[in-house]
Amino acid sequence: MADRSVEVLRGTLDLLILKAVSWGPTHGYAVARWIEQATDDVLRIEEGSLYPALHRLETRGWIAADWGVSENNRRAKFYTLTPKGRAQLRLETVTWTRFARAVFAALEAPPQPA
Amino acid sequence: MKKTPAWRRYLRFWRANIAQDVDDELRFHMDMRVAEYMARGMTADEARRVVIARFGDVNAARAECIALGEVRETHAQQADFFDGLRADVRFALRSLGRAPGWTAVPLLTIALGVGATTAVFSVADVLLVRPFPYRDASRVFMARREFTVDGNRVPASLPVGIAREWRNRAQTIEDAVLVFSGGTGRLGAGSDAVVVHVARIDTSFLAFAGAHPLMGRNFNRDETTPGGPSAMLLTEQFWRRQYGGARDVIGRVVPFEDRPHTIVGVVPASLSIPNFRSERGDVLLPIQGQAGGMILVRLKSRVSPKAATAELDAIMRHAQLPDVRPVPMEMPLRLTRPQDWLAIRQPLVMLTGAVALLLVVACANIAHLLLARGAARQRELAVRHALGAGRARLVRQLVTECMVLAVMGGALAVFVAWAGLQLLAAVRPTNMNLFALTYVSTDRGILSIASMLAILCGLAVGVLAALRTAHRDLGISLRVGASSTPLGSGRLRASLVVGEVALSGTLLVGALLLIHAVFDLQRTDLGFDARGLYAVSFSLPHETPPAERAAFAAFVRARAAGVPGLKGVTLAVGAPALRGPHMIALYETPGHEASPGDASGGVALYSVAPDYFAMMRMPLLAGRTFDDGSQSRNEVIISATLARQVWPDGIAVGRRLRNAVPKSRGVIEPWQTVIGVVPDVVTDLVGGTASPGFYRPFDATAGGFLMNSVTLIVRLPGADAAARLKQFAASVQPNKTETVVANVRETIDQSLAEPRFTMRVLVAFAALGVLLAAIGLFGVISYSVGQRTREIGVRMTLGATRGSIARLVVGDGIRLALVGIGVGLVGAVAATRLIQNLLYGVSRLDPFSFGLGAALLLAVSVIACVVPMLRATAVDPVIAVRVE
Repeated sequence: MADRSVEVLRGTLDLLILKAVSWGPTHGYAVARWIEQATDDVLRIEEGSLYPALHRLETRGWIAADWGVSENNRRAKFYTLTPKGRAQLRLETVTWTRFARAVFAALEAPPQPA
Repeated sequence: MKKTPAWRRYLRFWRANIAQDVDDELRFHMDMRVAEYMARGMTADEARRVVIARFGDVNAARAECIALGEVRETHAQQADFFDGLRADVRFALRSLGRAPGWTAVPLLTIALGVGATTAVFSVADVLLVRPFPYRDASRVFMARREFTVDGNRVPASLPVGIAREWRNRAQTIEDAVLVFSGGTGRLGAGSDAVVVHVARIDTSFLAFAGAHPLMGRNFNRDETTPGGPSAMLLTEQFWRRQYGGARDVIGRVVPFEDRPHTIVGVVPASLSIPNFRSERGDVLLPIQGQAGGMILVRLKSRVSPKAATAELDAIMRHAQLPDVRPVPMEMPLRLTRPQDWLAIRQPLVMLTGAVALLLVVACANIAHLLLARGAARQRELAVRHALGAGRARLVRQLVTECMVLAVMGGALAVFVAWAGLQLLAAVRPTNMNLFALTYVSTDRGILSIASMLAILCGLAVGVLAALRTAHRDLGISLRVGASSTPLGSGRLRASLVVGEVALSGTLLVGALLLIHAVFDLQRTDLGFDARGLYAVSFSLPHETPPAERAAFAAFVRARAAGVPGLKGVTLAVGAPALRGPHMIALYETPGHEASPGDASGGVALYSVAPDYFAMMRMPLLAGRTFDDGSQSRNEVIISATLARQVWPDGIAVGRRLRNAVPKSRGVIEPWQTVIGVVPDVVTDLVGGTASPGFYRPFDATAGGFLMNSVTLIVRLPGADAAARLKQFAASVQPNKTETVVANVRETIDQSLAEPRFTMRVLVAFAALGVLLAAIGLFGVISYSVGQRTREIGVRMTLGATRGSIARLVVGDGIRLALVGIGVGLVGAVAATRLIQNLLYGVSRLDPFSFGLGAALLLAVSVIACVVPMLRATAVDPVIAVRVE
């Protein structure tokens, strides 16, 4: 499993982005890097869909964007979580955890009695 | 990818560059990845290839990001706009709230102006624009012939056969139906009987109007044939009023004019029927057999009324109908809009014009108040301009302020309009059937008219004031300071005041002319003594035999003589109070027989007892009155005008004449001998001149018009006369007939109800207009005194007396007022042409009204200048000079 990247589902990508920007202003590249590192490179995100996802979240008002200067002194667009986005993050975390737990429980369940 | 020059970022100030932003962001990402891979040991080219491969479809991602960015940009702009608007409104409310006194004036002005206009417009809308809600109403016309009596158009009826002919043969119309006012009738029996207004209709009228019975059904074929079952329809209003909306009225049998009729249906209130005199109807009856009335036609689409008139007229003239008289040539056929016949039309058009003028005055007043305020705010605006607010931004702020005023004023105006409508309904003459007022009420129509007018005012005023204010050199204002506005900046304000005074002057002169006209009409010489004069009429059942009728007449006359305090009693048909019937007549004398082309005219027809003239205190100008043998000798008495018309030498007594009109239907009347000449009597004050009168001896046994009623004319002084006469009437004929007790003077005065109504409303408008103009003048003079405090101080220091300062200030105001009055009088000369026929003989250039109007306006103007004058003369020169 470890050497095969998993296609990140769109809803999951949104959740991961929200999490990635939840600690402070983060640019798109850093979001991509964080997701790779945090998931031990298991979830390798499709970069072509990362930026549209960022812009979609910005349009929805869950994250806000501002131009700033990156660590290597370049102009970059930084994203931060808005209060609305924070609430969404909390909600989606709960939903996702319950979902994952349910799937896990089903997989661990004993065989169905005949 | 190309490098972006740093300066591009500054364009963001002007407009967001979305595509560039997206490119920048993506490039940053790629560069970072490339750097990452190079750090892991790849060559630059290798790293770039891997990065691009890993990214996937760059163009698709870029396009999606740009699209999303544009959505955000649009939202942001809208949010900016609404934020700005909210801020403007909040600011406007605050600055208006800071000067509540100042705010109240334009607010009330808008409320009154828009409210009054809304009230009149909504009445006009109902009465002039859509009073007859028929199907395809734009193509519905009323066909009628009319003749002229004393300058008034009087309708002549068209026979029902013509409607049938038109329906069958005319190519220009789709349909034609006959309707006519059936006058009044008695519904019910005994003490429960009520007098109802009756309209008679073709059965196809409902289909023509596009209406359906609310309940029950329309008349059927049997009910429209003579001798068939008697049926009636009730109007919704009458059904609710009389039967409380009971659903079981259908099928009830009620006596109408003593004959049982079955109620077969109820028609909706919206089905209005244009009648000759009243627009009200309680009961509808089918036309049975021969009848005459007015014919409603619906033209085919794209047919002009003119073409239809020509065709219908031709068919009418060549119609070969049994029982239908040939139509006299001199009575042209006219097609008019049904609503054109509403008596209220012309006054209402005039009032609509007047109230529009009033609204213009109100707007001018507000504009001018805002200008004065704008001038006072020069400094504030200049400072805000200097701090970076653009001209457009300032104009927007000012317009917003006006709109806030307009919206608040408009909300108040709805209440004013509502109150105005109640007032109009309360003072309306009873014979003016503003039936539609009940529909107007305070519905969406009023709201939409009021808000439309308010917004129009707000925009007009706001843009004017704002452009004017922001147009000035704001820099100069800041340097010079607020208290010395450049000369000539007051010119616009001054011309607004002149305009206001002029418009209100026009209104005032119009109102005074109407007052003068009504006053004159009230003092018209009636031709008889109406003091304490009453007409008491008893109606008898149709089938009463002539002998019984004569006996009843003699009986009531004898009984009336016993009423205490009675000064006189006589019998008559067609008493002045009852508006005796008019007859079309063309008199010929032996040797001077009338030819078909001769013009006929209307005469008032009376039938009177020998002592009638003595009782009425009408002197016999020549000859003698009737005696018992007059009837058999075919003797008549005529009025002075008629005598002169027939015999220009004025000598009538002993000569003979007869009405030639019946000849056209083959009836030759006997020659009648004139035995006396009496003065003309006025029965309709508005009609202008007196009608020619034709008196025949009273004969209760004779048949003919109105002969199912007997009228006593009595003279009984005292305030309780009417009550006593009612008592008497009831004692003579309890429960058997309808009795009507009418005060002759009051009845005649009713003809004044309409001019009086128009006059009152116009007077109210004129008063409002003058008040607004006075406020405007007051504002301008106060403002100029405020601006010139320093100049006044200097003048006083240099030795000007308080008197000369007062003259200076008042002189300014009076100069403006005089110019306004001059323009207003010129305007009145032009405008009064439109109300000439509402003046009933008073010249439209009546010097009294013009003079009084000018004097009143001048007086009001002087009063408007007094307060600012007092303030000017109270200026302390030391303080005034030191002000700056």
